[in-house]
Amino acid sequence: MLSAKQYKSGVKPIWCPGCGHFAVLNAITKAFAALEQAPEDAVLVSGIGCSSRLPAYINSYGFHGVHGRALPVAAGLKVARPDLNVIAMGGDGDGFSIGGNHFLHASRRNVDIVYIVMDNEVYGMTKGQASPTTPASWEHSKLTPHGPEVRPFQPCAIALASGASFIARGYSGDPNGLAHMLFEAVQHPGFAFIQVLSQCPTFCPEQKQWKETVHLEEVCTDDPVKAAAFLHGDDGLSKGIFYRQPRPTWPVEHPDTQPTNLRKSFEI
Amino acid sequence: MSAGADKKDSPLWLDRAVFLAHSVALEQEAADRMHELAETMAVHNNPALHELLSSLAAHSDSHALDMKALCRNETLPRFKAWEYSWPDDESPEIFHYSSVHYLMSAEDALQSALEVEQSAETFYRDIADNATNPAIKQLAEQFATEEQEHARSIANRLSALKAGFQNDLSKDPDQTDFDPPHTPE
Repeated sequence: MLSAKQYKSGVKPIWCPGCGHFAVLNAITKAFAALEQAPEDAVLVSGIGCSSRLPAYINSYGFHGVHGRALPVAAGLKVARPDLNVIAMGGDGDGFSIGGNHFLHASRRNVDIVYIVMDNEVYGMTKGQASPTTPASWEHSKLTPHGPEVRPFQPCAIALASGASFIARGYSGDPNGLAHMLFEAVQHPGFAFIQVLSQCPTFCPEQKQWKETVHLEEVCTDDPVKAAAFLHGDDGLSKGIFYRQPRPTWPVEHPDTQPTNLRKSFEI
Repeated sequence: MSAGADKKDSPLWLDRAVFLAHSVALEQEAADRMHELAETMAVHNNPALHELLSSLAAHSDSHALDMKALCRNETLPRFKAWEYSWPDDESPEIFHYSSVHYLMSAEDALQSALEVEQSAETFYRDIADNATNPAIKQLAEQFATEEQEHARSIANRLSALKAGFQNDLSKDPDQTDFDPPHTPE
């Protein structure tokens, strides 16, 4: 049995001091320790951005891929190797902008993977531009002097509408609670989405306030209508597992279809 | 443990082994978080703060080893990270991520270190004052006194820094940010 610390690789994170992604890293190692995860049976797949560096910091297999494409890589890997614990991850820009369409369809397909989005509401690696989840009135970037003036993307509501079967929101100020969510998400059969409010102390210092404003909501339901009602009235600062309803995963198995008669299945 | 009225029914307040398991975790997590922050400062080319935080982390390591030595003949329960009965989301003796910044000074770091030591003292003092198990009361009193000593030691370093008596620590890194945020190329 490995301790949480033993799941860390020797690579030192380059994140800014105080970055919420450290908490996500610690939550993953704590969840792995609780799951008694064999390092060789886990794969972390990421896109591009500050948060997408995370696989390098974990003692398991990792794939630091292409911008916005963590989910198709992770889904393909899981389909090919269903025995592995596949966890995709990235940031809000990676996952909801360039990778937004993959997010919709990964939710819809319900492949048995976990997707963690470290949401700091900003493109940090490129020095602080507005992302899909940036508040409309956020005026800190000189590229959007009046703020983005666009309603922020609603990740959990969109995941629900698209078919994700496990939806949760964690907070980097609560790595133990986040570790618990991950523990549950890994064991959930299907696409498990976790949005993590992960503060960016460099470009969004106002997110320090999350320590006071993030609140726990114990509203977990298996009823999508109730989940939708909650998420549409949500202030975006609640944490907890909001929705959990196992349903058939993709790919669907066809035991009678063997490689030798595959051609016949596709005959016109 | 959010419901204050129920905390005395928690195994933390009733079971000596559970109490000691929390004490070991508290010291180890304090050391781990301090090392993490020290290494981050090294990565961000702040050798002065790296040195200061590493020295604080070394003290935390020492406290963690002392606690483990105290428990070497005990059979302690194993908890998952979220199963501990901390008063807040994390153990009381660690820096909250929101208290850290790349421009933090030595004074900021010592102030935060002081606050987490005081937080640990409060945690133990609360148990010492209110637990009904005499063995736990005695241990909690002892640990509260030790945390008070740690806090006093850091408070002395902080006072010396403020007074400029410790030349090595008074040389804070230049706080001018030569690569400030929000400057698009």
